[in-house]
Amino acid sequence: MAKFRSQYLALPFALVAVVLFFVQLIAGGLLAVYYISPDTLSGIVNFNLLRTYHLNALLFWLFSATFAAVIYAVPVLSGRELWGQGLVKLLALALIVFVVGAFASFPLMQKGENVWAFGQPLLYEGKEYVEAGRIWDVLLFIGFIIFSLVVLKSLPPPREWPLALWALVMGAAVAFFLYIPGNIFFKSIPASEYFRWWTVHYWVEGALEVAFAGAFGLILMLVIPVPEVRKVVDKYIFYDVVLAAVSGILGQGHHYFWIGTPTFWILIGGVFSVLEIVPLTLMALEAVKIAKKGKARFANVPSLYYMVGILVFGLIGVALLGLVQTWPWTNWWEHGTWVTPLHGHEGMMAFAMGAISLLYFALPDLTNKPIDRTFVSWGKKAFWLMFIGQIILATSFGLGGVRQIYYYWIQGAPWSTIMEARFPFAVGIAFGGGLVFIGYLYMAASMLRHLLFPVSGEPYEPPKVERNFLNTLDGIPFLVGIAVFLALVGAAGLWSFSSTAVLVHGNLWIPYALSAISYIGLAVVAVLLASKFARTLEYGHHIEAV
Amino acid sequence: MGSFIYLKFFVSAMVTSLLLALVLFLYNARRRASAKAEEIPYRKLGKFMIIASIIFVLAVTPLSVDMADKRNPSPEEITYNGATAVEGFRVAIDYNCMGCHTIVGNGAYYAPDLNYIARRAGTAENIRALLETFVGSKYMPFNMTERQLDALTAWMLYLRDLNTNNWPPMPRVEIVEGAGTGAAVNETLQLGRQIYETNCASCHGADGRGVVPGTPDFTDPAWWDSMLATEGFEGLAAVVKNGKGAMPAFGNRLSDEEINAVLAYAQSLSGQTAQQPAEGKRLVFGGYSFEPSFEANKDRWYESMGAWYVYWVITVFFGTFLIYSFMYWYARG
Repeated sequence: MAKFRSQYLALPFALVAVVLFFVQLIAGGLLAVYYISPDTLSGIVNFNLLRTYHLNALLFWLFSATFAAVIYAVPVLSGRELWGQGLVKLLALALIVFVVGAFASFPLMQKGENVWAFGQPLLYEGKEYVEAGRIWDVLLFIGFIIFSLVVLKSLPPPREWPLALWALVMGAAVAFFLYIPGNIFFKSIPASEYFRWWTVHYWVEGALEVAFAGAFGLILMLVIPVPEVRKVVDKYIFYDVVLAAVSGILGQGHHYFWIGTPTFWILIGGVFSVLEIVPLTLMALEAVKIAKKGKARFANVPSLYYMVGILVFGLIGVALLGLVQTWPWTNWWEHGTWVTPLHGHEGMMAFAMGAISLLYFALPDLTNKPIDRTFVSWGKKAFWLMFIGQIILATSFGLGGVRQIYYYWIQGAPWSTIMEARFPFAVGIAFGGGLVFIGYLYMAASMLRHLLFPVSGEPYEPPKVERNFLNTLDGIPFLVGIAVFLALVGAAGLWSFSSTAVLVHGNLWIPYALSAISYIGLAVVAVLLASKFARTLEYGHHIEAV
Repeated sequence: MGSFIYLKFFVSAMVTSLLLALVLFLYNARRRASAKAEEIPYRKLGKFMIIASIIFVLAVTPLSVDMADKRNPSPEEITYNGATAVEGFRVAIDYNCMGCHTIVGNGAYYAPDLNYIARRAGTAENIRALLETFVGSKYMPFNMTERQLDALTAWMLYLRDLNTNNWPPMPRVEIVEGAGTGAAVNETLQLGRQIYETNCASCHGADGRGVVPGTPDFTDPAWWDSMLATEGFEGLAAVVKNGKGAMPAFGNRLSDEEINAVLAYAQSLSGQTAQQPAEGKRLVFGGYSFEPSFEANKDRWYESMGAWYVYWVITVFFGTFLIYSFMYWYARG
């Protein structure tokens, strides 16, 4: 049973998140239809409209799920009811108005019927990730302020905060305030893009590496209330936040190579975006340490699986697939092709998994029902389908993108040729997306069942399983090493486009083979890592070993 | 400075940071072993570095958004038929161009990059013709006014002229007039080029590689070989005269002489000696590189060689910190 009544205020936000996740997947599915048959939907629902829904549904459901998690956690942290519960209800209402309003104005872009005032587009704007118009932006920002007010008033005085809470609050504050610069209309493209990345990139840095690290540090401290854990978490958060902040603030420059900004960004952005793998590797290695220190099994298995999902996608998708393409010489070739969504989809899935994990964590406590066998087994199925589906989808993007580079930049072929060259991979995208969708159905079903129907099973007890390579933590540093090596192979694959072997002698197998080895290899390592982490923690194998 | 200058700066900064971090790490080994965790003044250092990195980004922001020495054209000064590029950007925002195309490589990947298209098309007239071809078609099912098309044209001219450090990748192709060509040959090709650029380039591309789906690649010698073998020069001239598929007939607009000249020019794009008198003209493939932009940029103070040494030192400073911290964390556990 949840200790505090105000924790139930998290439920509407969680529900909005689950619904918007559905919208995102449907829009993604229709985008896949475009890739397979470009003419079917043209003129009815244009590609750019669907993509707007795909991106914005993602952003808003992540915000909504994070709100839910924080509203759930704050009373526990402060030991009393939430301050300003009326404001939270107002926030829920405002969020729904915002989402409905923004989503209802997007279709106007099919006719270009926007409204401009004070030099700003009011209803929507054609800027990737920040498509909501100014009216909705202001509403959202008011929502952010209400939310911050409620949280800050509810929490104990800052002197008593653990570092993890500092990380969560600071990360969220950065994400909120940097919503502004990306949403101002600038006449020049370099300025417009420069500030848009402040919003979009720092959401990623602020939210994933700082706020989520803080959130999961807090969960660890809630689950295992021992002073020793607080010490471990504090130290880990401190290093992670310092390294993530420094490398992230400067590594942001990898967006500034080709947007009309000065050349020095190629040096600064290049070096520091390569060094961005440092905090993420640290996160992964630290997780092994913390996992080995844990003396109790984590009962909420679905939440645990999704936590592992963040870790693996954070390492493979964000750090290593980023490393493949972030070197200026590889970025020059891959920028503007399908290789980017390879990194984008696996990276964003790290957030998605974080948000799902938070929802799964809060749900059994709020409903006060046991974590039974069905809940766990559906949750696990959901995780594996989403995880593997997303990897198939992303890898298809990457391989198609490498082919696109040749036809696009080297051959200078007409666009129809490029569409044909990418077509076989579009099938992979649709297939992977299908798996993710089935995974979503399992997730939503397990959550709704737990929320709406009586659950009377015994709490889930993991079976006794023979220890093997796939369910212990043996050899993780070795696997991480392999993954880094594969990422460097991928970078070599993209760089090889500049070589005379490809340009003059036409040895296309070099970039194709290196990229295929890298992307498929990284996909396999990701599955291995996820299996090792998740099952070790589920079966408690590391506990016996201690 | 020769080529690979970025590589030199990049690699030397990385290697120096790594070495410095190693030296610091070894130098501090004894102190680290004897001290307690709290005794190492890492907290202050960490906070200082975060603030330092923020200050650096804020300091270079005015340079990055072109508030100093201008590196990019002003969007207000680029116009087409009286519409400015800023107006065009507003139209692009209203129709969400970025939701299908990429702009400076950012956006969706469903349609070609707009900077790339603008550079391929070359002139304002070609860009305008492309827009007229596609706007309203099933690819871009919008109804736009003439004024909006003009504005978009101006905006694409602005995109074309942005200084994007030589991205997107385009082969450096130069048409070199060989020695020993008579004046008549040059005149034919000049005429052909003129006609090509006003009539053909909007679909076939200024470089002959084709913009609209279904157009052939004029730079491919094999295509010319097979066409000349099957159709002959006269067959090709007939296509220009009478049209074919989506291609309009030019017979009422161009004389036979002009058609011959434009075909000669198109064939010369493949690097082949045209059957018609285009002798001595060659297409030189210069390869791909983003290096030349360094040369082009170094007259601005913040992109000059001296400034690059400063950036190098800053990079090494932060790089050493990051690598050292990682080692420190790993050793302390």
